[in-house]
Amino acid sequence: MNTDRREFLKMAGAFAAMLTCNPEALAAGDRVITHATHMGPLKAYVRNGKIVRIEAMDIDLDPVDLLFAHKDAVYARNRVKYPCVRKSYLDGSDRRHMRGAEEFVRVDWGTALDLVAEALAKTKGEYGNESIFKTTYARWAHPGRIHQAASLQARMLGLFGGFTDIVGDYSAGAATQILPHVMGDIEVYSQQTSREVVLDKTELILMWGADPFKTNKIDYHVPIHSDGAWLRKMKDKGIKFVTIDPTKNMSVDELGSEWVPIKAASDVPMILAMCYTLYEEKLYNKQFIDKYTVGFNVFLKYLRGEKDGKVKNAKWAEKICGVPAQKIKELARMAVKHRTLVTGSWAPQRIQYGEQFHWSLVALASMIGQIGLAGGGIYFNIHYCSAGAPYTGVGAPLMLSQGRNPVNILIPASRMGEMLLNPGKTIDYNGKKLTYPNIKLIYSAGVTPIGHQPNVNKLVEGFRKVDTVITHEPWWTPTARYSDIVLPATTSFERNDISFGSSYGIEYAFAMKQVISPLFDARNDYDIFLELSKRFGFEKAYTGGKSVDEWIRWSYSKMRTKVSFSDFWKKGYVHFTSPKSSREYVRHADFRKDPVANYLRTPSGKIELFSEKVASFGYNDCPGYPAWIEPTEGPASYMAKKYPFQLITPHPIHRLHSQLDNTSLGAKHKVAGREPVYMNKFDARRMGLKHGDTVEVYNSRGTVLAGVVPTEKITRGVLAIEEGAWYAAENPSKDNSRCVSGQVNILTSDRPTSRLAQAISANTCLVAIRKAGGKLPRNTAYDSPPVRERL
Amino acid sequence: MYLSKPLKMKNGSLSAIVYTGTSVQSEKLGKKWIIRKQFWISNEGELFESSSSEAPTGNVKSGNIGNNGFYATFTASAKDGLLVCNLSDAITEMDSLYYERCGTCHRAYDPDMYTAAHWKKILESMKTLSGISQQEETEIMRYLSLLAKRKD
Repeated sequence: MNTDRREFLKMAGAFAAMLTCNPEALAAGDRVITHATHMGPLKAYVRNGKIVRIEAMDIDLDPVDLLFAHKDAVYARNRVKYPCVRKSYLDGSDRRHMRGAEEFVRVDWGTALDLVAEALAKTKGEYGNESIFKTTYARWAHPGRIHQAASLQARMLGLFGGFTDIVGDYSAGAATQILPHVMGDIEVYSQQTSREVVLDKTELILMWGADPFKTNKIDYHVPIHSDGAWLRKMKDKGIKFVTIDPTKNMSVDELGSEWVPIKAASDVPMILAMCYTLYEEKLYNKQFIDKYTVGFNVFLKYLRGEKDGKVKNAKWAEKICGVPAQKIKELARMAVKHRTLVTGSWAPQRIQYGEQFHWSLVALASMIGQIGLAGGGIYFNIHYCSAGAPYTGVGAPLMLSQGRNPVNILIPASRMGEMLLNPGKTIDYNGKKLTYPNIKLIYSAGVTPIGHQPNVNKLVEGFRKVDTVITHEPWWTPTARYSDIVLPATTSFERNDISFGSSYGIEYAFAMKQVISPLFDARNDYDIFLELSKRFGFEKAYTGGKSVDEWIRWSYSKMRTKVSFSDFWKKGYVHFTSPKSSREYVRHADFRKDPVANYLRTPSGKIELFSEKVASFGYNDCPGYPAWIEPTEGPASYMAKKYPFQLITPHPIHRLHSQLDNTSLGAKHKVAGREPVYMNKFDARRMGLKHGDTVEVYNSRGTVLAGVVPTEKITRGVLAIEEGAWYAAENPSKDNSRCVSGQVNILTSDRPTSRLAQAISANTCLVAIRKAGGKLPRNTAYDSPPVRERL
Repeated sequence: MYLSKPLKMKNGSLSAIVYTGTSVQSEKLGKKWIIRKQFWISNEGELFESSSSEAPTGNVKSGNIGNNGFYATFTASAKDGLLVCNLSDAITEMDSLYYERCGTCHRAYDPDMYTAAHWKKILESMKTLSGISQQEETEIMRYLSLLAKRKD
């Protein structure tokens, strides 16, 4: 059963009236409606049904530019207006190799949904449910709990018989697999020592790669940007920050941090050399090592060179990472003299053998001996989601359950392209074996894999191999353009939802009120999956007998608060305070107090500096102790002669991954109309390049056009292109065509970190750069593809 | 037969709560069921299937248990409806709770992926952000214990 657009708008309007509070009247007809995003909570000014202005809510302590770009995104000219089907998919001629290069045909919702249902049923019937691949794994599209595409899609496809799912993530894929062997916990997403304790006790913060002033602009849920004040208070108190990073990132200036420039992807040798310094100078905490760790002797043998003939001293490290030996020694000595937090972002583990980064940091922190002490030890998410915000104890508003997935096949996130091209191939994974299924249908909602997956050209080859590609999208993203069936989805501004923030503290619940009616023919992901559920006969199981309104109320009811739903919804948010116990929380304090009673979830119950279990896997790319392994694609490799620059792919400052790249904010920060490539000014001068030049950055995997920005704020020999620019092939019908937009994952490798984590290693990448010649093509990344009205 | 709800059972002066999903011996006597089960009682007053079991299946509520573990047989009577033939029927409510609370932010992983001891630590790590109550934590842990992998 389908509803036409008019009926749908009527329903949406009625629903909005039911849930939306009486908006504050500004002028006749004007309304102010509260909403919430990954960039903060906001007030939308609506006139004649259209957003005219966005303001940050007063509770946002440090509003960010990204928040205001939402208006542009909602009204972007490349919105998907109607359900569309790739022409040869619709006419049956199946020119799948033309995905991304072919025009689309507008269809009505009934036709589009029938085609989706037909494709799912056909795939299931012919190949089994494991041939259906759900790419939607994270929840970065919006922070809403009920309209969350990842869980809704899993719920629907689970009821349909299951699907091949993704395990792990792109952010911290190596850390989340290795740290449970080492610390008994993934650590990187776990609650850390509270801010008050850090402010009170910490004296020195060593930050590998962390740039909290940039990355905390956003939150996995809704930020109120309280971390800036915390960090500035630390600076004002005189806490010393040291930033080890190939770039002089924005937090260096904000914090007055000492910048220690380092070559890309070479943090591990520096950390190991700091460990060796502490050993050589007898500065390490032997009592801590003896009482709380296992395997130090094995690690020590490696440090002393008894395993490979190389002593891991500061001189050895300097040759690899470029940090002067004296600085390495100085930092090691400084760390044991002060109450020191060892922090690391996740970019340094997105390298080949990335498991070694956090394992080395744990070894260093163990030798410093402050794990479990107030203000000391490790802190692996200082850059993420307002970490350290004390937990209020109210619990998060729930999402709909994903239910069960009868297909028990989980593929590591980084393996997408590899899986599509190699059905039946068996790989190692964390002590187990995985066999790639034969994927025939790719289904994305709220996510754009052609963008976040390394080696885009390889992924496109995989996309062009399968039978069907289905995508829900508000915009003509690269993934939508390479799809067969594109269903226009609403943005969060076009529906009611509920969220909370910050991710760790849960200081607020937010009413994400519908601001405007759905634009064009857009429908909510919830309703799209509902329509499919109806076609398959499990509508009741999908809805659980509840309307969206009831699910929102149910979600709120799971929070432990006495504030009524109607009061919450009327005000737009509820604030919660944290108890004293949360404000005094110290990570691993219980373990330090009694390591027998409060053992870690490792086989030994202690911190494992040598892991028998990891060693038992027999992986030469991930031995049983933290180690430096020369990368295949490093500055010392033969490839460096052809591709002499290391390339890193930091998070963007002016968008959230790929989101908002199609707005005026995104456009403002382009250089020569394309993604900037940052390079050291000496390197630029040597190559005769100046600010604004259009260059080709290239390697064996592909070529991108980018705009040069020479700067002193990057290590020589390193280039940086922020991830997330939308991909646009110069000639989409040609394989490996040059990207005219500067999408950096054209260049990055999908080589896994190791057989242990099989995570992405995008920051191990070599490239060359040259000035682009000839007539330069226009950047077409934000164009809509041609859409015919009928076949 | 399996308990579909927690049951108070007795052994002389010892009184214990036996958890949902526990397998028991039973026989019908008139309108009632007579239920019997031998447990290993730990020093901490927890009931186990045997002295080598990892996860408790009940706990002593009153009575003297001394300082050494021992085996004891507990009995109780119950009405129709408390006992079911299959474990899956006994744990339906806990099953729903597990998938509702642990299958939202991420996939709810199959309980037999980890041992009960491993799940206990995972739950300790996850309970803060998931916002589960103490009662929910107990029920989810019980569910996972029943279906967990037996050893690493």
